Amino acid sequence: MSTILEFKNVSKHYDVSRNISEIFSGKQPKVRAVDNVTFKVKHGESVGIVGESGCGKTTLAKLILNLLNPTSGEIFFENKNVSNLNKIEEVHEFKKKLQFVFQNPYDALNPRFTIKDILLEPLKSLKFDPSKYEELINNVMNLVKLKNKDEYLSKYPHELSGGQLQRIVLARALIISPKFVVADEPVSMLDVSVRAGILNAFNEAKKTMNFTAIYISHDLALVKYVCERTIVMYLGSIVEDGPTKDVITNPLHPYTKALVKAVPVPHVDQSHEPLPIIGNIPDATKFYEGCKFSDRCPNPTHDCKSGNIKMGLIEARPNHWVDRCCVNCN
Amino acid sequence: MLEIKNLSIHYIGKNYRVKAVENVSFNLTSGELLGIVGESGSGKTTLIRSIMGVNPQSAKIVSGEIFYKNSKILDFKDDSIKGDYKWKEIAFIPQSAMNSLDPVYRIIDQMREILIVRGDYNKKTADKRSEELFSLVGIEKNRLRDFPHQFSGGMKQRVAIAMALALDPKILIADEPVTALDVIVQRQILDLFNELRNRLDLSIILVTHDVSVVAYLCHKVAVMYDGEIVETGPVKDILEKPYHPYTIGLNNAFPDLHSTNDFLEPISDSLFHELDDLKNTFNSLSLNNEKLVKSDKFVSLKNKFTKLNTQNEKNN
Repeated sequence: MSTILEFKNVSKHYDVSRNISEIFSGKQPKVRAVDNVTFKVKHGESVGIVGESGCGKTTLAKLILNLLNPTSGEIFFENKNVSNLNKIEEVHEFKKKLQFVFQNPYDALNPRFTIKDILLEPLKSLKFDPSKYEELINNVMNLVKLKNKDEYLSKYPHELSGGQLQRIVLARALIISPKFVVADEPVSMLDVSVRAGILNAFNEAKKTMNFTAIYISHDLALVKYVCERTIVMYLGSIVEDGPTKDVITNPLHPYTKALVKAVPVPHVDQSHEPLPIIGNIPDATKFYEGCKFSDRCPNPTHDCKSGNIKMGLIEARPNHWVDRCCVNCN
Repeated sequence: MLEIKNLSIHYIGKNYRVKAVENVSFNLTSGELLGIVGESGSGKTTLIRSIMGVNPQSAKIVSGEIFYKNSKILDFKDDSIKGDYKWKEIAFIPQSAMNSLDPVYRIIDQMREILIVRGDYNKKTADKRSEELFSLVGIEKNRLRDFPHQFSGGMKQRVAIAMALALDPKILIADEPVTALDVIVQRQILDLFNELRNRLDLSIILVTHDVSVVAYLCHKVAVMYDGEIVETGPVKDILEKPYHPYTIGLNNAFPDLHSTNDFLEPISDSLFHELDDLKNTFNSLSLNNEKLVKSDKFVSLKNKFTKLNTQNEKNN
């Protein structure tokens, strides 16, 4: 399988200043939202990105979608550098291939548009042939399992339930038959009883349309259900990357271990052991010389903080990559 | 400790009436952790808000009584809450507690407000109590002078818990306390609840839509559907041998990290329709719920979903 998306040493830093003297002294603190990230996604793959809030998941998604320009590094989409697209034609060409499913369906849809207008919007702005509109809408409504489509098309977003709205958001993303879909926590705002339905629709659409998917979540249980490969992020860096089943049953990084343990399961006899992680999420502006995880590592066996160790990922098992420093710590 | 008897709450407007809570009864014994699960709109929040008397004006209690330590604190006839038990005996952590902190006041001022206005503290003792509370929920005391925006989501939740505990309540009611949190922070908050219960001898009612949170923390669970408690009992029984089709559906709709099953069964609309139909038929026959559960139609429906359940297990 060929590579569809490639990140090469991509970083995105945000400047944050608390007061004016910080700006003039040149000691502006930086939030390293995405820090030197390198990975590849193959055609047809579905990749889950997990991590706690503030670890850079959403920034990564925005970088993929070209909504943000990276501070450094290069992003390749179908072997073409897309990190700095300027021409409107290029942007259109790019956006025909790539779509986004938002987290909150209540905010993602224009309240003054009917569902039909909402679905037509991407077709109009990307200049699809108007004679095909009807057919495309039919197809996509079937795909997201909204039967009696005529009933929905003339309605406004406030007339639909959360689950139905998220199906519309999904339909809007899929209507142009994208090659690549990025979904940012698509079910976190929804009720449990409708979550399964949305995830099933997403999986089925993926099968029929054969797109590549990136699924962002903090819940490993949901990622497991949708993705075959999982990337775990911590403070802007990738700490573990491997086949989902392998990552869940046999996590190598202490942070992944904590994540797997923290997910509550619907069984009574589950362990109440303390998590193998200490402290809280550190200040996002903190700069680490060495291992970023050193503050929260339960048993560092060597001096991770000093910075004279080699950083980066190593392949610990076939296709299963993990942070070089932390794999030695336990 | 707390006993609720046949409570019904309706939202009454000019030309509509929504039955949010219908004929709900349960008790909470001392030191118990009770979970209430159900989806949005099932009446969970209305139910527990009525205990605190913080429902909106349009919500009318049409029947039922609430007892606290055998004294009646609410009677539907006068619709108002008697006694000075709020916060001192029963404390409440509202939904998205993180957003309910006042953004323009320092945490210390918000703490003082509760302690001085509701309790009989003065400024000096209030500050001391605030420090105690912060160490109880695991936040450094030098952060008392911070504003809410300087805290992360999990810390704000801890602050909300500290505030609820300010006047030493015996019962703590938490409405969706971990819904907006990350899994790791969620786990820390749940462990905090457990620790507080042991240390302070609290009884806790936890309202959530997440079955696994209840499985992790609670002893007893009540499943709410359409304003009624459809099933209640020890967590183990409800999870392993659910009786009501809705509970079975709810259990199946949950992703389980460690199971090898790759298929989630969404709760189908047809189940809801069938349940509604069934309820309507029986309501028109004016049978009570107990008979409904024993009826043939109900049993066949139940068997249908148990079959589905075992099929899924076989696939594992």
